Amino acid sequence: MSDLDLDLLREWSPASSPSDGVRAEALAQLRASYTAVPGTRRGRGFGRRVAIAAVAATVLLAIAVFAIQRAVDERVDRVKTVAVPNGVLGGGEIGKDPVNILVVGSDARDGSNPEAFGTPAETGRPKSDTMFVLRIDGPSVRALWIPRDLVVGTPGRLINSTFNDGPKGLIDAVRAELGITVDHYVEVDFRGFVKAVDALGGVTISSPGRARDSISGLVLDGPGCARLDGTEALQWVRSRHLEVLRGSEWTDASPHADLDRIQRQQEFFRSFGVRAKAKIGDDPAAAVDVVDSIIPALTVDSRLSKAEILGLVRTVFEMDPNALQAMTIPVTPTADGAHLVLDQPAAAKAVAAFLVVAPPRHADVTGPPSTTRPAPPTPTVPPPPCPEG
Amino acid sequence: MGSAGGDHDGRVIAASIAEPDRFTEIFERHFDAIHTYAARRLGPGPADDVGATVFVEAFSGRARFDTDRPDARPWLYGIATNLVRRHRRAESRRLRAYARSEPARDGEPIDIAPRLDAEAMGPRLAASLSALADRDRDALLLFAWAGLSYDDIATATDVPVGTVRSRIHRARQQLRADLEITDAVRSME
Repeated sequence: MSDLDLDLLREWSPASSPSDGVRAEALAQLRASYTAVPGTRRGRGFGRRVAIAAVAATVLLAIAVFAIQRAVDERVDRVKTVAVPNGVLGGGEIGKDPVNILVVGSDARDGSNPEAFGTPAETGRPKSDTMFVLRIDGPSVRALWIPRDLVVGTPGRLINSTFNDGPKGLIDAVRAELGITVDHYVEVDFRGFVKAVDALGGVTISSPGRARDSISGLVLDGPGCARLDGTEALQWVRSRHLEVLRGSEWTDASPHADLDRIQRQQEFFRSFGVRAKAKIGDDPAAAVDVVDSIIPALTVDSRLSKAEILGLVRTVFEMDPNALQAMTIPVTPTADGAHLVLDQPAAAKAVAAFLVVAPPRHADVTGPPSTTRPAPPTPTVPPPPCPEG
Repeated sequence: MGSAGGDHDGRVIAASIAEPDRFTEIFERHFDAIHTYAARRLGPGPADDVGATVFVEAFSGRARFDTDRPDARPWLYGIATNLVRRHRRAESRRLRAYARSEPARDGEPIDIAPRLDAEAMGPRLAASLSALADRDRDALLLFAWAGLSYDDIATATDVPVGTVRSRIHRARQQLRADLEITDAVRSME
């Protein structure tokens, strides 16, 4: 028998790979099931208890989210605002449109922790050490990290120096360099971060070994999972000079200082989310503590309405932290290796994928084939390897 | 089918019992192939659904996987095949739509290369596939589109390999009759 029939069959319906977006969506569903499905080795009774516990946890979480929203509602008037000139921000509204929120972690401004991070005189103006764009498009939440060592504009300058005169410079740079229109701006003072971690009773991270950073002051005893308090957590996510003990030698564990740190930050935020959900699900009062610690540390653009803040809180607390699609803008080192520039055309493709409108849950068969959409890249960060809760 | 430098599928799945995150490796190794197969059978929309569901179901049933097996593909394609069955109405709608899409050139034997002819033969191919028994169609398409061996198809569909052989043979005979393919034609190329 010839294979002409098989050849025709293969030719008639050629293979085409799924888009990155479809892959990312499927992976998110799979990861969500890691926590939703009870252990299969256990008996049915256990499974049922887990199912009941899961329902109870959902209800508790809903109560907690409600408590958080009420707490936010009562305190929202105390959130500091910064005026951003007309035309700098896009018009997207949280809850109505897909929005891009520029989130910036900034140095403590009052020198409340000078031993660890220097006094304002030493560190100069506040710097944006951590920058990412959070995209909220219906239930889909993505985060695109921007390395602080990225050189932008002509003449070139470090992107975090565009922040020296306030958010406008940074928002303009994000639009000019990345082509992302920022709809809202949120700045989190590191002090608030420390307090929020403490309010959760610490957050667990996975350490590559016995580790230290003599500049940020971090010391970790050994490899594996470690629960960090707020100050340690800040040292961990800000460390650019992490060293790990190998044998009797301290060796450089972040050869790509900025990018390694971003990866730690992405992992950390996921763990933070998992921890926050577990903690406030158990103890709605803790939710109010978290809100109390973060609210004074926030500065938001003056156009962000109270309804939008509440919508943002709901989205963040209701999302599955493991479904967060965290990515980093593709970059490449400059010739001297000291800084980073955008890696084109990969960076432009990543931005297009980041901005793509989330596909509906059940795409119509007769709709456009999924391959014509640019698609979000596969998340770069695995879920935290340490058990939480 | 262990990927370079990694454990084979069975060992990864065994490890994923205690560490669910490890299952992501299985997804990364095989998602594209499974999705591609589902898309060929059902079209892109339902394939997104089936592709994602295969791995969620595989994950929840991972304790039943024989972890001595180095290759998870037959198992995953088996799950996919069951899910495709649930979409059988979508599949037959799709095939019937293709079958109607343009008049088949009745009576003309195939005398040019498949590349040129697959499109022209599309409606007849679709009509023929749609008329096959489900089990025969599953076996044929696991062979032709998923590229599984007879042994793998036997594992995927949980039947003896002899049954697979006869299902594929029957399906191909039918297809060739419907397409009026003869080996004489082949020899003239």
